[in-house]
Formats: sequence, structure tokens, C-alpha cells
Amino acid sequence: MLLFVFLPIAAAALIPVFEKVWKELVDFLANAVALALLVLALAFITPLRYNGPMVLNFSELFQFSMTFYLDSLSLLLLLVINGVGLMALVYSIEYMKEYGGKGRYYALFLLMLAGMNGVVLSHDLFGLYVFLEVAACSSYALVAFGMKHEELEAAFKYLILAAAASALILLSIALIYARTGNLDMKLVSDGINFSLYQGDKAIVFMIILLVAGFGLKMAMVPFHAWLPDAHPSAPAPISAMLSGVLIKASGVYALMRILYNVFGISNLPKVGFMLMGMGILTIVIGGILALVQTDYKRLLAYSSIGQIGYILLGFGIGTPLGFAGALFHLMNHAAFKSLLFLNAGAVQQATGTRDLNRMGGLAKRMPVTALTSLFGSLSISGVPPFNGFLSKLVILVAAIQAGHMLGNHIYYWYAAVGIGFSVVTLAYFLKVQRKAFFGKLNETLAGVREVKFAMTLPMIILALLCLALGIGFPWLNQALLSPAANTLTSLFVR
Amino acid sequence: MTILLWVILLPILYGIGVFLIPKKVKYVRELIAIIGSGVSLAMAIWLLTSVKEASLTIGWFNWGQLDINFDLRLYAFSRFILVAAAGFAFLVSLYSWKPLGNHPRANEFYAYLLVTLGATSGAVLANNFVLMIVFWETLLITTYLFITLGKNGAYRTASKSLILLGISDFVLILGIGLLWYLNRTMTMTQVLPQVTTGLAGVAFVLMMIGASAKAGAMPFHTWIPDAAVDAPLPFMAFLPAALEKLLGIYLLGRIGLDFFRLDHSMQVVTMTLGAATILFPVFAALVQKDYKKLLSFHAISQVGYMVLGVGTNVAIGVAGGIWHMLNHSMYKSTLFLTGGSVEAQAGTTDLRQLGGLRRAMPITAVCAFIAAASISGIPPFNGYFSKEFIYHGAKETGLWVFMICAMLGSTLTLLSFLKLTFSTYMGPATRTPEPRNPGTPIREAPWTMTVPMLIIAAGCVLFGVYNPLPIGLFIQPLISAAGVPFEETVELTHHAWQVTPVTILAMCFLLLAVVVFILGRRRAGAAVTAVDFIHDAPVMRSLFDWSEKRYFDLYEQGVRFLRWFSNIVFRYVERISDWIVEGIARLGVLIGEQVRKAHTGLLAMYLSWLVAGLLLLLLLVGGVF
Repeated sequence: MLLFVFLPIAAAALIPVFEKVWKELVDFLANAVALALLVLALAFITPLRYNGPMVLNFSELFQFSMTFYLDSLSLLLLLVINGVGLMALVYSIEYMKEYGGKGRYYALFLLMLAGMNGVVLSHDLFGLYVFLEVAACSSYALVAFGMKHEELEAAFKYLILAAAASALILLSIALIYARTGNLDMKLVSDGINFSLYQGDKAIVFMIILLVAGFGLKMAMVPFHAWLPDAHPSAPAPISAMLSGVLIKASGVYALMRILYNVFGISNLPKVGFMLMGMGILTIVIGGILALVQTDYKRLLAYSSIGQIGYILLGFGIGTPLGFAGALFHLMNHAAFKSLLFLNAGAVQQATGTRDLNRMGGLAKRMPVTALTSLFGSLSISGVPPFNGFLSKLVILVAAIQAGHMLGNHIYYWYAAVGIGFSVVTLAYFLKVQRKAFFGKLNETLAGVREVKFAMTLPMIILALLCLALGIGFPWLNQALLSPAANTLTSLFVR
Repeated sequence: MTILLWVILLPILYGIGVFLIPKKVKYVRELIAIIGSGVSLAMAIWLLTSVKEASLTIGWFNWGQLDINFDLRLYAFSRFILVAAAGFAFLVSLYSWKPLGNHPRANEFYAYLLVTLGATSGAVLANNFVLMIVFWETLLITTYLFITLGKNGAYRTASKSLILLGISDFVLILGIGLLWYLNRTMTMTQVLPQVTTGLAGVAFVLMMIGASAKAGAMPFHTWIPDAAVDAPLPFMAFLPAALEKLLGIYLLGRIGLDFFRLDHSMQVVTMTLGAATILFPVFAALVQKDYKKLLSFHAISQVGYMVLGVGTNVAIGVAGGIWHMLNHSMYKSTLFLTGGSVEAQAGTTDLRQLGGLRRAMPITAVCAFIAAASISGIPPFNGYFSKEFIYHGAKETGLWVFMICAMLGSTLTLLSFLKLTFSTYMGPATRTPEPRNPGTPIREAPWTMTVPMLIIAAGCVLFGVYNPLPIGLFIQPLISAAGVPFEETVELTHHAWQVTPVTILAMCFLLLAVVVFILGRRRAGAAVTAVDFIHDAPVMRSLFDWSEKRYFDLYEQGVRFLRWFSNIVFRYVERISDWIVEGIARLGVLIGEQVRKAHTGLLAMYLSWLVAGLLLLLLLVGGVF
């Protein structure tokens, strides 16, 4: 289990050294590490079913205990992180050639992977924070990797805003420690739930700090403003990682883990409403803004904001079905958003622009990109038999079910908004497809060619994955999603 | 038994493989098609003789009472259809070597042929309604694609076939939905036969229409004559002649035997549909001047016999209807193959220009005569026996009028085939038309075309003369499987050669046809125009003219109505809703632009949003606590 964290760190340390020796080796090494991690994650699926969650304790090594904990929720996230990571790394082999400095790039990328793996494996708040920062710092550097004006400005804004968020999180952790005297999640949970601290107003304050802090990390409205600047200007595989994985691992996962497993939602019904309300707001704002964009990647960034809203909505509902839907949508969004960002990168590399109004008719020249982009667009819009349809359906059904059970009509409105903005999603993705790929070939783009195989391979794999996740939902649910969803329904039991 | 899965998958995989072979590679695709369908044929024969019964179930979706599983079952009925389908695929792929030799999209043809074979196998093996529908629908697509391979304007006919078959498939799906409602299961072996009254009757009618329309019964038949002209000929020999009958009547047989118990009123309905389908097209066939179009009308007409047979609800009648399906596939595909042979060698299929080809193309002529005799019901060919069964079945229901209709249909069938064969093959040799390459005489078709014809024609003879073979091998097992007592099934074989009053009556009707033909030819002077007096008869003339103008064509009338309707909708409904929709769009963009402007890009602004959001949350959520 420790390999998840330490293997990429070790590789990250070694890669710049290797780069001096032999350039091609670093490509191979980085991808090998990612592949190894993915295989490792897959290997854990069956043992986890039979043996239950695994714990690793290092109390003697540090002053504060550092514990690692692998349960089905963590495993789901691990699969997502390392899977998308592998795809982005394969893609980077070709894409990063124009940026140069591959050694540093891979080192930072692997650090980010290590950080995210650490976040999902961490069982104590200190470890969570440390790995969160590791991932975040490497992401700041990666956003700025191109070293041009746009990237530097975006990275700077991202850095400042995320640092503010981290400060809020740190403040909350400090308050938790002050309250309970512990940082280990289980012990904190016991402390908050089984003692006199129940119903304390300070608890509410801590929760809101966490929501604000992690909310920024996951680009919840109104904390979202860094994302539309950071994601477009980053190199495409990094955008894919950020949008597809980082905001989820460091944002959504961390918040949900803490809220549901540590604090326990049954104590705080209002928090559920808050999450749902923020989710709806995020869906609406994200959708509206995406409609009026003309920059390909910026549109995708706003779309990510909108989809995070759906995930928040699912988590806010609080029923196991809602969790399952949110987790499935998390997984799906990782798949198709990273696919869409890789497509955008391919288009940018081939045509030299991100402006949709200057593109047109690329489907003839770049058939693989166009087709995988179509798969991705259909998935995110919720068209059967792709995966997006099922995950959105589950979230909406969970909302209606909950409304029915509680007799609260607001849930139905939420579901209606969800469906409505699904249509909006379809609308702006059709716009993208139409402007970029279909229609007549723009004369200035006459010399465009399809990108190389190393870039098309991850796109094809992700596109097929979108289809497979959609069709294979029954098996997926049984194997991964239901166990993961069930872990959130109760406090930690160890 | 996973071999069932392979029976379906292999042809589809071959088909995809053929599709992917680049167009320049010449003989590989034909060989793959021939060998591939040969392998399927071998597997099907093995399943027929050795395996006999098998099943395979892969569970997929079981939610309450809705069970959609990948459920396959091999039993008496399905196994012989597998053999028939594979056999036809094999022979037609061999046959198509010459006609499609230089076609620019030949690889698509073989691909569709193989995929159709796979889908047909899947549809007959399916034990789950939803699975069957999936395969059934695949045939819609391959039919459409096949027709587009024909002449330049063929896509219109292709669309017509797609829409007509699509509507009938929709009717079938509705019927299946009702059947599910009555039985609460989608698995065929779990369906209990229902008496066809009330809701079950509605379900029966819907499914019957869907199944027989696939086979080509009225009123969804009008695409077939158009396809005969537009589509490539081997397609006609393969799908409308053979596979669609196999599929449609297979389903109809199962509807009559396994899913429903017909009551008297449904019997009459089905038999009426059958009788109408026999008579109307055969009148149209009488006046055709094109070899292929004439054959296509007969394809429709013969379906009427099958529907009539199944509708009698008597063991011998149903057996006759199903056997007629097999026989018809054989002789109709032979006839189409002879038509293709004539087209390939003589360059035309216009009956006015053809004549005296028996000397130049003896093998084709012999096959055509054998097949024509079979379709008309002349002993000892196979058509005679299956028609006999149908007549006896109709007689046993007590509704004599249907039996008379069927016999009259035979008369007209024989009449039109006398016209066809005499005008094409008999007559003086001086009427032979210009061959394709002027200067070279017309020759017999190459072996790749004549061998399939001969094989199937020999089958017609064999199944007629030695009829215990098909009855015992194919028909008896499936009738027994449907629960008919053993004594009645044994009777079938004995019945075949018996001469009863019904038989004599049928022979009289046939003789009538011969007499009419001889008289007509003497009056008109040539075989081609021998039956035109029917066309020129007072009432008939108007009917024929209207038919030519497509007044009776459901599709054409439907299209005309839709054009008028859409005009109205455009003027009064569309413009208004456009205005509304564009208004909403403009509003949305306006809102979006305002929100976009709020994102100034200034870091300080974003930080203040962060603080504001935090405070808001504290107030709203914290305060309410």
C-alpha cells in the first residue's frame, strides 16, 4: 500500500537525474511507474472485497501518528487517479515535446500523483493536509509550465487562491485538534460524536471552514474563479489531470471523507442541504458560463465546474443511491473530461489555436480526435449508452426518491434543474463539436494532420472506457460503486 | 453450449472482416464469404443432426418481472432454419461471384450478407423476446444497406423498405410488449399459450402483422417490387426470397403454436389476410413485363399461402404453411437466380425482348422450369405437397372459401409462370436479344452461377419426390414440439401421396390455367401478351391503372399525406415555436454574457468572492443552527 505514495516520489526524485543520462528513459520510467500503480490498484479490488479495509499505522515514526487506510472508497479513487494519470502520461510523451524540460515535468507529475494517492490513502488529518499540499504545489508549478504570460498569471492566481483555501483548511484542522486532542480520523470521529461536543457551534464553524477550503479546491461556486484561468493555460495532459482528477481527489474526496466519515451526516442534516444548494448553484453557473465561451479549453473548464455541481448534488442527498450516483459521476467525469481535454490539446497542437471561431471541419483531417471527442461529448451530455447517462440518471433518481421519502418538494426542483442543465450541457458540447469538427474546413487549417499515435492511443482507450463503463454498469456497481458508497453512510468502524 | 454463440458471432465477425478488406484486393472477400458461410452451414448441419437440442443463457438484466437475457435455444424449429439460412448464404455467395465482380462496393455486399446470416441465426436461436428483436432489427439495417448497393436511385427504395419494415417492426414490438404484459416474462419458453380473445387477441394481431409483414405479406409489401428493379439481384434471391420468409414465418409459426391458441375469429382474420395476400399480388404479377418484378409479386403472393396455412390452426395446415416456407425459399431463390443468370448473360430482363433462350442457356432453362412447376404446385415437385397440406388444412376448418381462394391463386400463379417461362425460354431462337457484347452469342452462365441454381432445383425435386425426408427431418419434430399428438404427425407423411377430392379439385384448377394460357396465346400471338386480356378487362383495367399509379401503396399514400401535413405544420406551428425558442436562446446568451463579465480576472476580486462565500455560508448555515 505504501508503494502508492513512495514509488512515485522515488521516481520523481530520480527522473531529473536520469534525464541527464538518457533522454528517452524518462518517458519509459514515468509511464512504467504509472502503469505499475494502476496494476497495483486493480490488484487490490478482490482482496478488499474479502478482507475488508486495510490499515497501516506508523505511530512510532513521527510525533503525530500517520496512518494509512485503504477501503473501497479509497480504492475507487486510486483507480481513477492512477488510470487517468497513466493516460495523461502516455499522452505527454508526445505532447510535451514542444515544451521541453521533460524531466522536470515528469518529476512534478509524479509528485502530484504521489500527493493525490496520499490524500486518498490518508487516515489522519495531518497526513491528508501534507499530501494535499504536495499535490497542490506540484500542480501550481505544472500550470505554469509553459512559462508564458498567460500561464504565469493563471498559476499565480491559482496559487494565491488555493493558498487561502489551504489556510482555511489548516485553521479548521487546528480547531479540530484543539477540540478533540487528536488528528487520527477515527479518534477525531469518536471524539466529536460520542462525547459532549455534539451540537457545538464550533463544530459548525469548522465544517464551514472545511467546505469553503475544499470547496475552492473542487471549484464549487463561488470559489471557482481560479479554474477557468488555470485549466486552459496548463498543458493539455495537466488540464486533464487537474480537471479530471485533482479537483476530485483533493476537493471532493477529502471533503466527503471528512464530512461523512468523521463528522457524520446524521448529526448535521443542514449540511446536506447546503451541499445540495451549492451543487445546484454550481450546476447553473457552470452551465450558463460554458454556453458563452469561445475558447475550447475554457469551455471545458466551465463544464467541469458544472459537473462537479452534479457530484455535489449527489453527495448532498445523503442516501446510498445518491452516493453511488455521485461516485459513478466522479469516475465518469474523470474519464470523459480528461478525454475531452486531451482532445482539446490535440486540436491545439495541430491547429495552434484554442479559439473555436477559427476552427472548422477538422473531422476530415483528424478523424480519431473527432470521433473520440464525439464519444466524450455524448458521454458528458448524458446520452445512452454512454456512462454519463447512467450516472446522471442515478443522481436524479436519488433526488426524486429522497424527495418522495421526505415529502420535501425542493428535491424535485433540484432534479428538474439537473435535467434542464443536462440539456444545456448537450447544447454547448454540440456547439464545440459543430464549430471545431464538423462543417467546412477552414482554409487556414488546410495543412492540419492527425496527431501521433502516442497521443491518440490514450484518447481511444478513454473513449472505449466511456462506452464500457456505460454498458458494464451492473457489474461495476456490484464490484466497486456500492461498496464505496456504503462506506460513506456511516462513521468509521475499525 | 457456446457453439450457439459462435453460430451467431462467426458470420458477423467474418462480415466485419470482409468489410475492412481494402477494395483493391480482389478475390479474398468472395472466398471469405463463401468459406465463412460454408463453415456456418457445416456447423448448422452438425447442430441439426447431432446436437438436436441445446441452450445457452447469459444473464444480463433481471429487474422484477422484466428479464432481458442473452438466452439462446436450439430446438426442432430453430435448427432447421439455421441450416436453411446458412445454406442459402453459402449458395448465394457462390452465385454472386460473377454479378458483383466489378461492383465498386462489392466488399460491402459480402459483409452485409454475412452479418445478415449471423443476425438471422441469432433471431431464430433467441429465447428471449428482446434479444430476438435486437437481431430482427439488425436485418432492417442490412436490408437498407443492401438495397443502396443497387442502381443510382436505389436509396429511395431503400428508405421505403426501411420505413415499411420499421413500422411493421414497431407493430411487432407493441405486440411483444402486450404479450409481456399478459405473461410477465420475456423468455419465450416460459410463455403459456393464451386464447386469443380480448387483449390477447390484440397482441396476437399485432404480432401477426409484424411477423407476416417481415415475410412480405400485405399491406407492407410494396417495397419488394421496387427493390426487385433497383437492388442487386443476389440480394433479391437472398433476403426477400429466402431469409425473410424463414424469419417471418418462423415467428408466425411460433405465434400460432407456442404463444397463442387461436380462437375462431382470429383464425378467420389470419386466413383472410393470407387469402388477400395470395390473390391481389398474383393479379399484379400477371401483367408484368419484367422478369424480376414478376417474380417479386409472386414472392408476396406465396407468403399468403404460408399465413393461410398457419391460420388454419389445424396440424396439417400449419405443417403445410411452415413447409411451404421452406419450399418457397428454395424455388423462389432458384427463380431469382435464373433471373440473374439471364440478366448477366443476356443483358436485360424485359420479357418483351427475351425469347428462345433454352438453346443458349439450357441449364438455366431447366432450373427455371423446375422451379416454376414447383411454385405452381405441380406434382411431384415440393410445392405441390406443401400446397396440398394447406388445402386440406383449409378444408378441415370448414371455411371452404379460403381453400377456393388458395386454389385460384395457384391457377393464376401457373398462368403467370407459363407466361414467364414460355416467353423467355421457348419460342423461336430468332427472338434472342442482343447479347452484352455484340458479335458473341449468348452463352450459359459460368459454373459459379449455375451450380447453386442446380443444387436448389435438385432440392426442389428431391423434397418433392422423397418427401418423407423434409417432413421427417424438419416438419414433424417441430409439430411434435408444439404439443400436437403423435398420431396426427405420423399421418402427415402418409397424407402426402394420397389422392383425395381436394387433390382432384386442385388439379382441375391447374388445368384451367393451362387451357386459358393456350387460348390466350392463340389470341394474342405471343406468350408475353397471352394474359393481357385480363389486364384489358373492363373493371380490371382501372384497378390495374390505379395500382400502377400506386394508389394502393400504403407507403406512397402515407408519404403524400405527410407532405401535406408537414406543410400545414410548418406554416402555422413551426414559425411560432421558432420565435419562442430563439427568444429563449437570446435570453440565455444575455444572462451568460452578464455573468461572464463578472469574471474580471482580477485576483483581488476572486479573493473577495472567497471571503464573501465563506461569510455567507457561516451566516446561512451556521446561523440557522
